[in-house]
Formats: sequence, C-alpha cells, structure tokens
Amino acid sequence: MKLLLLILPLVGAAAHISADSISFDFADPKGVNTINFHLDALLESTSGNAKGVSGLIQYDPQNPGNTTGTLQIDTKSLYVANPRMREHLHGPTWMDVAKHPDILFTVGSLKDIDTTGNITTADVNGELTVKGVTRPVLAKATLTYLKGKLKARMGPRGPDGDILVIRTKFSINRTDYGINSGQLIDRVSDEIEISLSIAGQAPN
Amino acid sequence: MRSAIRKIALYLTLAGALVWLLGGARKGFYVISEEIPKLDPVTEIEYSERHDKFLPGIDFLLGGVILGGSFYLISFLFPKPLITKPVTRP
Repeated sequence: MKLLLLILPLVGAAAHISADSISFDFADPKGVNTINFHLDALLESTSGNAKGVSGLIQYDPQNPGNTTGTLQIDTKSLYVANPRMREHLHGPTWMDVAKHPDILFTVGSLKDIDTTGNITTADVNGELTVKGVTRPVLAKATLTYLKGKLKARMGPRGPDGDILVIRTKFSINRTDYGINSGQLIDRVSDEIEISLSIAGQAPN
Repeated sequence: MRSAIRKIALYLTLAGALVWLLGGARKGFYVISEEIPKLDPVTEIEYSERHDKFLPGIDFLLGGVILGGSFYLISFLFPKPLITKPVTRP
C-alpha cells in the first residue's frame, strides 16, 4: 500500500509531462497571420492572400511530434487586388464562399522531426478540406517556439505567454478540390502554390 | 469632321498609353490596392499591409487602343474633305 502511494504521484507526474501540450490560438489580433496563394496564368499570374486565419494548435515543446490541432481560413477573406477577379474567385465556380465559408487544415502526424534549440522542422501529414472536399496533404513545416515572448509582441499591457510560429509551403491541384475543375486549364494553371507564416499565442 | 474624329482617336490612344505608363506600366490588369511588405520584429514573420491604391493595368492601354481604333474606323464614315487646288492660269 505504501509502495502504491509512492508510485501514484510518480505516475501522475509522468502523465502530466506527456500531457504538457500548450494550446496556441492562431486568431492573431495583430493581423499578421496571412496565407498566400499563387497561380500561374497565360495572361497574368494570380497572387493573393487570406488574412482570416484562426484555429487552435496543441504543441508540446518537449515532444513536438505530438502536435495536433486544426487551422481554419475564412474563405470570405480570400483577396486578390483586382475586383473582377475577386468576384470570380468568390463565385460558385471557383471558391463558392457562400456555400463553403471555411478552409480547414487538420494536423494528422509529424514525421522526420528535427529539433535544434527552439526550432523544429518536420514533414506534416494533414488533411486539407476545401469546398467540402477533404484530401491528404504532406507539407514540410518549420515550427519556432518563442517561450515568454508574447508580452514583447503584444506590448507592455499584453499578457505574458508563449508564441508558436508555423512556416510552410506546399502545392495542391485545384481540380482535386473541385475549384473550377477542368476549366481554363490552358490559361490558368491547375497547381496552386500555398505558403503561410503564422503566429499563434498562448497566454499564461 | 473626319480629321476631327481622327484627332479624337489619336488622343484616346495616347491617353490610354499615358495613364498606363504613369501607373507603372504594369503587365497585369488594374488593381485597387497594393501590399506594403512589413516585418513582425518578434516573430520575424514577413507579411504585408494592404492599402487602397488604384493602379491602372494593361487593360487601360488596350482600352485606349481599342477605343482609338474604333474612332479611327468611324472616321471613314465621313466624306473626305474637299481639297480645292488653286487654279493657275498660263
């Protein structure tokens, strides 16, 4: 019985360490978080961005391989600088933002993890949902854990806490997600290059 | 009348070209904003801030040429001006 009483706190401590994930909120009040996209086209390549990023990522600095969570992009925030192009982009043939208000990326697992100091690089297997179509995506990502840097970023009145920066770049084919499938392939590339650099905050 | 319409055609073509050149001679279509690159000092994330700004594109150059060309073609609907040659007497 005494032995059990000694072991139980140790088991509890071990469980606490393994469950030491920090939840980072990616709805950035500073408006820095941006997803950039690029499509090559015959007349003019199309570049744009989306600033409506949100979602929660659970990250354990001691064990980055346990990273889980979902990132969300508000499709209404998809932006290109030409108003006519933006109208097409938001319309039913392209992104159909009225019917599909969100793009989701769910982190599945991390492989080939390499951590040096506060920077971790890994191959992230996840699932990307666009226009209601969910497909697996593999992306090489860099995660930078900035312990205790939240106040420095948010100003003296800001909360204490940590920041997690995620950087990644990957490509998808628009026909895979029903984005103007099979149309204008000779004029607008099927491949969409996506890059993102986003920061999540975890106040203490 | 014909020459007046042709002058308008020339001015429209030149105006389109001038607006396009002064707007930075962009190869793309017109835009209503520009992205100013910024750096977040703590996270070192490079991001952009959007500012409203109208920048004409190649559509303005093409528009000027098409409009000018149309006026030039319309000018053919009007008769040639009569040229009166001075009569020289031997």
